[in-house]
Amino acid sequence: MFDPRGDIRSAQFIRELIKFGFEVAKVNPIVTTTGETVISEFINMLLRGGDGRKAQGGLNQFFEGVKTPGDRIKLLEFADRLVQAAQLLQGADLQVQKKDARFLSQLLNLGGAYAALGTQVSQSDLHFFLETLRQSQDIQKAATELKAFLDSFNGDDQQLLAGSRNLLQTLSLVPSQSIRSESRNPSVAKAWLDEAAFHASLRLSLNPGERILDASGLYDDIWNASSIQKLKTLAEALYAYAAPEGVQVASNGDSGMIAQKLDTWGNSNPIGGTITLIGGLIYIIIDEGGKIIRAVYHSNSGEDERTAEEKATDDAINEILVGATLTDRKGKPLPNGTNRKEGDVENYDKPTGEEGQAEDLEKLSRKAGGPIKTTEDGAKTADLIDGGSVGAYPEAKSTGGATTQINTRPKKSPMRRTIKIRYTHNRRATIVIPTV
Amino acid sequence: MDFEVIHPVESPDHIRRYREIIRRAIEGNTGKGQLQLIKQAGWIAVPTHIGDLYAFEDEDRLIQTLLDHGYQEFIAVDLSKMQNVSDVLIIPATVLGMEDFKYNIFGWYVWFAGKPDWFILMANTLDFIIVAGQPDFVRRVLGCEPEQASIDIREMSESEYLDPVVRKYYAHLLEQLQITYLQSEPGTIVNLGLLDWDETPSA
Repeated sequence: MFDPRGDIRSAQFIRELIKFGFEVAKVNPIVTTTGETVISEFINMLLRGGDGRKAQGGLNQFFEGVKTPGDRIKLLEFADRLVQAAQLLQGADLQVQKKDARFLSQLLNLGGAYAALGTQVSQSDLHFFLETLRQSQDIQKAATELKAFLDSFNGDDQQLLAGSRNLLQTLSLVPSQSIRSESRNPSVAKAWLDEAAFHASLRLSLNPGERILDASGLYDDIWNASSIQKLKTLAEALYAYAAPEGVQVASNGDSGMIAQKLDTWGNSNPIGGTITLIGGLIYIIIDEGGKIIRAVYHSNSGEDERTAEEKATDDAINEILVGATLTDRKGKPLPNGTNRKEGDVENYDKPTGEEGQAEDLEKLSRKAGGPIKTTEDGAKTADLIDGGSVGAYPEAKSTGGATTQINTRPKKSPMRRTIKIRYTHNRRATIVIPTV
Repeated sequence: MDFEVIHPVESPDHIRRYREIIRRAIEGNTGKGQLQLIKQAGWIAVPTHIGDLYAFEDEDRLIQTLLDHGYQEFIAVDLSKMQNVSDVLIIPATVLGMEDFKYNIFGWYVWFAGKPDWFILMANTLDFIIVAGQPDFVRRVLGCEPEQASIDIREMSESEYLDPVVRKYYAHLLEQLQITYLQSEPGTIVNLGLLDWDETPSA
């Protein structure tokens, strides 16, 4: 938050504020705002005069989280360049948009949230408009990158900007020093924003009755949050969900495990509510009853970073999980937002009985595995081509019904999954329907 | 099966010796539906959900407990024949050792060290484990009081989503461990049976 007395007495701050006002005025916005995005009040005042107190509130929000006067001046300079980059946007649909004060306000709010992360200078070119603008005067390059970001979402750009701002603010509000310091890597913010655009597009593409499985149950709340207080609460909930007590203080020294934990934050968005793989995520689409309809893979880089073997294994697993329901340990269907314990296996229920189990094992073996072997205890096992394995157990004295366990093992990383499918009998199928 | 750090025991003599040691405290053959514990002096045996040993912090706590008690490695003996793997494995008390087991093994194994000084039964296909030993050791492995550790198993014994036979088994397990085992004299055999899918479930 800016300090009206301190900052206003600084000649440099005033100069930058005026310069920023000048950049905004140059745009000559054709649509003004009604106060839903608070920085817009400031822009309104610059353009039309108006309520000074509201304008100050707008500035307060804009400077949220930016702590020193020097950083606030830098943010104003950054804001100038953001406005300039927006004006260089090409594309028929963007000509009106870039002169819309609401759009500019959302963009500036996103810039403010990015500045508040206090990111370090990236060593490599991330092709990320916010980082490009913070580092350089190459407005044209940033404009191209901004357009690519906006184009990656098929819906309302302002929604994308507002939701993205919320995600970045959440990152800076997570109550963990180590995660906040991890978030100072600009590639983390970029990964979160790319994932946000994909997530929002995926949601738009859903058929009626379909939902994206959201294990944390926090995604929509973060996306739609309208106050910093709300985001603070959500950031705490997110941290409690993704990094339970004890992980950061694992003192007896397996740094690999901690690194893996942080990787979840760094490489991908833990609130996509799905399954984290190397360089990508699997989004699970479910119906209203929680039954899996399909799975969608997405990687941050836009390229599938899995090996052919990993991809084949994932695809085969996704295929046999269609029609299954994710459950908790007690076999109860997992509603969105149920905290699955970290490290727990993925438990699924599939109402196809032992016949379905045999079909699924055959499918896995054919598409992503070696030959099926039968063991002394009557179990059937097969190796998977990604280095993992599958074991299918019939209804036996030592099993809680027909069960298949799949252990995946992408060789490149410790990101592995343990999946347990219980093949139950669909008891409702025994009801006899009289025919006429 | 390619383990990274687990060492399968090949010598039949060694395999026999390890089996003899663990048989003093637990014996079972899942194919025949047999599972019984032999009460050890001063021991308690606590059932908990297998997932409680899978989270990173639980793994860390188990490893730290083992290291604090001087165990650099421990033994795993197969009670099922669900995989074509050696009957006896030596597992280093490290995160890698635990991961190597978790991601390669499906069946029923019992972990132990010493004469045995403690054991942990991994009943993978029924989703539970039993941690048995001196009360202080068991509490440290569980990271909580025994009653609290068993809450999930108790809820599973009442879950409408699980098969009635399985539910009944969890109830049986709780009763045998929390009452019978706790109150028995050393040397008493406590029968945990297993599921019987062919007949009416027996308690």
